Amino acid sequence: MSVNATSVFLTDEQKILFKYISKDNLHSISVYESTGGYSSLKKAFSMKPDQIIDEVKKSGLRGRGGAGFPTGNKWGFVPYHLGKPIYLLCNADESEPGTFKDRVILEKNPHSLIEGIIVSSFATRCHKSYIYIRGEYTHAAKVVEKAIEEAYAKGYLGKNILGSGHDLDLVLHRGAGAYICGEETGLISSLEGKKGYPKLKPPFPAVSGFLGCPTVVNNVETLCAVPWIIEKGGEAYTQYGRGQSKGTKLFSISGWVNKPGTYEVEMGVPLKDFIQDLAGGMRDGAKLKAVIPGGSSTPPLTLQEVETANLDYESMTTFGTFLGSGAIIVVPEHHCILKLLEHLSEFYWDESCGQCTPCREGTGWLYKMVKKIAHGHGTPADIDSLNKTAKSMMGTTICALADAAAMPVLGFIKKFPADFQAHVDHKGCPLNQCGGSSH
Amino acid sequence: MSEAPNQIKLTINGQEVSAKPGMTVFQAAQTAGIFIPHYCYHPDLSIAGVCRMCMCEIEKNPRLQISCNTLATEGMVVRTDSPKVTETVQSVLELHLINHPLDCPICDKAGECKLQDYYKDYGLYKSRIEYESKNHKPKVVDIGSIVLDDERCILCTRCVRFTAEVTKTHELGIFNRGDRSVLRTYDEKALRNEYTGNLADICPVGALTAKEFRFKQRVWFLDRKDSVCTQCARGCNVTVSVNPQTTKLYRVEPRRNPDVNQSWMCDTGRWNVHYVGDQTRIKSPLVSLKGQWVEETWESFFKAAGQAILAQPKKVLVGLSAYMTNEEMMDALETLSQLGVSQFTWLLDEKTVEDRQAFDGILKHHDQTPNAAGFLQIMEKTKTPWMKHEEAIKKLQAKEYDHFILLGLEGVTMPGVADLLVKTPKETAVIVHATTQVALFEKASWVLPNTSSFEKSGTVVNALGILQKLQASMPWQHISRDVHALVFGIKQGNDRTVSPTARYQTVFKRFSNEAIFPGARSDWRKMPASGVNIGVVGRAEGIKYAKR
Repeated sequence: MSVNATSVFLTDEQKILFKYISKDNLHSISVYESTGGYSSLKKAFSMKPDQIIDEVKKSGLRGRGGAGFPTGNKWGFVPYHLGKPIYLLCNADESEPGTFKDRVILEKNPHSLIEGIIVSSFATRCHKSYIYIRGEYTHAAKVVEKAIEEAYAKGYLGKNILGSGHDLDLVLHRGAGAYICGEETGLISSLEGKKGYPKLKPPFPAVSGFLGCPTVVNNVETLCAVPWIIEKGGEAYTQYGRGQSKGTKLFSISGWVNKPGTYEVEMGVPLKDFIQDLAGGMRDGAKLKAVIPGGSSTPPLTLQEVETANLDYESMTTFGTFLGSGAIIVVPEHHCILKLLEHLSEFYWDESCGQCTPCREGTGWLYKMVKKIAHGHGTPADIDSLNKTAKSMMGTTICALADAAAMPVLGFIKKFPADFQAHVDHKGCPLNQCGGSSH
Repeated sequence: MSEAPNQIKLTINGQEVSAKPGMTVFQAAQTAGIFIPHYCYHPDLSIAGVCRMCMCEIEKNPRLQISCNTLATEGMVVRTDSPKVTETVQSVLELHLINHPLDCPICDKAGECKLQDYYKDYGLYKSRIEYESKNHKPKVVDIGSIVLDDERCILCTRCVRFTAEVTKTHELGIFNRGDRSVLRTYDEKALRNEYTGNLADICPVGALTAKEFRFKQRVWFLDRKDSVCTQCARGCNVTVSVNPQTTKLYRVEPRRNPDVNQSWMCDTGRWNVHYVGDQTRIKSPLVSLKGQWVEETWESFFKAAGQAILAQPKKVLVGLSAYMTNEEMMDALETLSQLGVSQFTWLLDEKTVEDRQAFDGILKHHDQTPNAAGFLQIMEKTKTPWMKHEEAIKKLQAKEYDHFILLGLEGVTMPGVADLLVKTPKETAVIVHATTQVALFEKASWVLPNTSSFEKSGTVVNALGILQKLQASMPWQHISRDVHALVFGIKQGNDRTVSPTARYQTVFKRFSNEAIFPGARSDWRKMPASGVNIGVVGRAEGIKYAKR
C-alpha cells in the first residue's frame, strides 16, 4: 500500500490491525508469532482482569460491529460474582450488505482474533468462548479452524494458558445463512440451537445471555484491537482518532471506485480523501451521486455531504447517518437510486426473522411499495405512504432490523426526492435500470 | 438488608397507581383498571413481546417501551394515551392487518376478535392496501381438533407457548421466517394433548378454531353464564354459551381463576357435553313393563312409587350422587330423613377418591365428579351416618332393602356406580334418577329424568376445598326434575314442582348460618365468581386430601 508522506492516512507501521496484513502466510502461527503475535498474553496475565477492563475503558474503544457501544463499559456490566459461567462470544457473522472487513481478519490474520479473544476472556473471566462465523464464510471458517488447532497445540488455548492459571476453550460455530443471527441476541438463540430469534431485553446478555448465563458478545474487529491496547496502554489508543471516536477502524469500500477493498484508517479522516486516495477515486471518472457510509442500513450521504463528512461517529451523526460497520458503498450518477433501494428493501424483507409484527409485515410492505414506485406504477401518494410506513416501523421492535429496513428508505426519500418523483412522473426508470412494464 | 416495600407507586396516564414489586407496567395498569391493547401477552403464559401493541411512553426514555416486559418502578411516570403512543399503536395495528384477509363474514371469531375490537378503538383509518398485494397462505390446515387458517394468524405465539409451557407437549412451532412465517405442528402431526380447545380460546384472532364450534353459531347470538365445569373434582371455572332462542348449548370455555384452573380447561370438560342435548337424554319418567320402557308422568311416579317407598322407609337405600349440588344434598338428606329414610351411600367411583390429590399434573382429577368434597363435608357437619360401597353392597346382598334409589346421576355412569347396580339383587327395586339412558339401567323399575349441571344452580366444593357457584344457563330440559323437586315430590306425593330459582338460595343461606361451610356468604348472590376457599373439607376413612 503506497501512501504519500503528507497523507492523513496511516503508514503500515502506524497501523494497529493491518500492520502485517500483507505478509505472506500470516495465518500460520509461526509467521504470526514472528510478527510479535501472542506477546500481549504475558502482559495481560500479569494484570488483574479489572485492570484490563479499565485499560479498555480508558482506550475509548467502541464496538466495531455497528452499534459503537463502548467495549469496556459492556464488560463492566457483567455480574462477575454470580457463580455462573461467563461466556464471551465473538460475532463473526458479518452479513450487513457492503461489509467485508472482518472477513479479511478471519482469512488473513486469524491468530490476531484468537489472541484478542484470549486477552478478553481473561478480562471477562470467561473459560468457554465461541466464534459464531457467517455460514457463507467457508474459506474463513477453514482458516480459523486451523488456527484454533495451532493455538491449542502451542498452549495458547486449553488449560492453564502459559502457566497463567487461566483456562479457555474456544469453539468455532458456523451460522446457516441468516442475517438476523448477526444481531447479538439472535446469535445467542442460534448458538443455543434455537431459531435465530432476537431475545427480549431486559434481561440483557451481560446478565442473562447464552444458556441463561452472563454473556459478552463482541465483534471480530473489536476483539482484535484489545491486545494492542493492553500492550501499549489505553492512553496510546486514544492518540488515534478524535472526539468520542478513538483509535483506528477498518472500512470496507465497494461500489463504483477504482480500488474497492478493506482499509485501516485513523478515525476521523475525511471521507472524500478516503474515496479519492485510498479507494483510487471514482471509476471511469464517473460522477459521485451518493455514498452509503456504514453498511446498507445507514442513510446515504449526498455528493455535497461527502465533501465535508469525516469517518467518525460524530460526523456521521451530524448528517443524520451512522458509521455503522464501516461499509462504504459508493454510488455513481449513472446508477439508479430506486434500483439500489429496491435491492436493499428486498434484502431486509427476506432477512426479517418475522418475530415482531412491525418488522415482519413492514419489511414486506416497504419492499412492495419501493418496487411499485421503481417499476413506474407509483403515485405521489405512494411516496408519502412509503415514508409514513417506514417511519412507523422505527423503534418498534425487539431488535434493530425494522429500523435497518426503514432507515435507507427514509434516507433515500429525504436526500433524493427527485429520483422518486422522476420514477412517478416518468412512469418508470429514467435510467432504464429498474424493471417494470413501462420500458 | 432492608426489606422490599410491599407496594410501589407509579403514575399511569396521570393516575397514581399502586403495584406489587415485580409487576410489569402492563400488570400495574391492569390492576388500576387501565386497559392496554395486546395480542401476545397472556397472564398465564411467558412474555413474548412480539406483537408490539402494548407500547407505552416512559418519562425520560426517548424510546417507547412494551409495557408487558417493562418492570414497574417506584416513581415511574407512564403514559399509554399520549399522541405518540396512540399513533404507534395505530400503525402497529395497521401492520397487523395489511396481510390479514377480509374474512370477517365467514370467520367464527367475528364478534370476539381482537383485530376487530382494536380496529374499532384505534384504527378506523382507510385501508392503504390493494387487495391483490396481500400475502396469501393456506386457509384450512387440519391439526387435529383444531383448524388452522394461516392467513388469519398474526403469529403472536400464544399457542406455541401454551403447548410448550402448559401441556409441555411442544406440538407447535413457527416455521419459515419473515412474512412467510407460518404456524405448524412438527412433522405435520395432529395435536396430541388433552387441552387443545384452549388453543382456540387464546388465539386472539380467527386463526385457530375448534372443529366442535366452527361454523356452528355466531357468537353474538349466544348468552353467556359463569359457571363451573362438573366433569371432575377440579371444578374449572367456565363460561357457558347457550342460544336463548333454541336453548341449545354451543360452547363451554374456561374462565380465569388463578387458584383453580388459571385460564384453562381440558377437552373432556369442554366437549364431553353432548349428553345435555342428544338422543341418550332421558326425556320422561320411564317405568319398566315386561322388559319394555313405558313413558309415564311424574304424577304417577310420585303416587305409585312414592307411596311404596314411604311404606317401609327403613328398607330404603339412597345413593347420593357426587354430581349433586350441596343444596340438593341438604334437601335430599333432610327431606328423606324426615320421611324415615336413614340408609345412605354415595355415588361415585371410590377408587378415584382414594387419593384426592390424584390428577394429570395439569388440571384433570381422577375423580370425575364435581362434589365429593361437598358430600363429605355435609355428611360430617350434619352428623349423618352413611356407608361406603363395600358395606352397602353387603347389606344389599343380605336383602336388607326393598328399594334402592340412585339420586342425581349425570352423564355416562362411572365404574363404581355400575358395580353397585350390578351387585344389587333382583329382589330390590331400583329407581334411577339420571340424565342419560344406559344399558345398566335395564334392571331398574323406574328411570327418572334428571336435570343436567347446565340446568341447575347451586354450589359445589372442588378437591382443593373451594366452594364454587354453579349457575343454570338453560331451563330444565324435557320434563326433567332436579333433586329438590324429586324429594319434595316423594314427600308430597305430587308433582307440584318447587321454583328452581328460589330453593337453592334458601338452602345456601344455611351453609353459613349453621357453619356447614365456614366462610360461605349468607347470600348466594354475594358469593364471588371465583369461589370461596372453605379450607379443610369433611373427612372419610381411607381418603387422602389435597394440600393447598
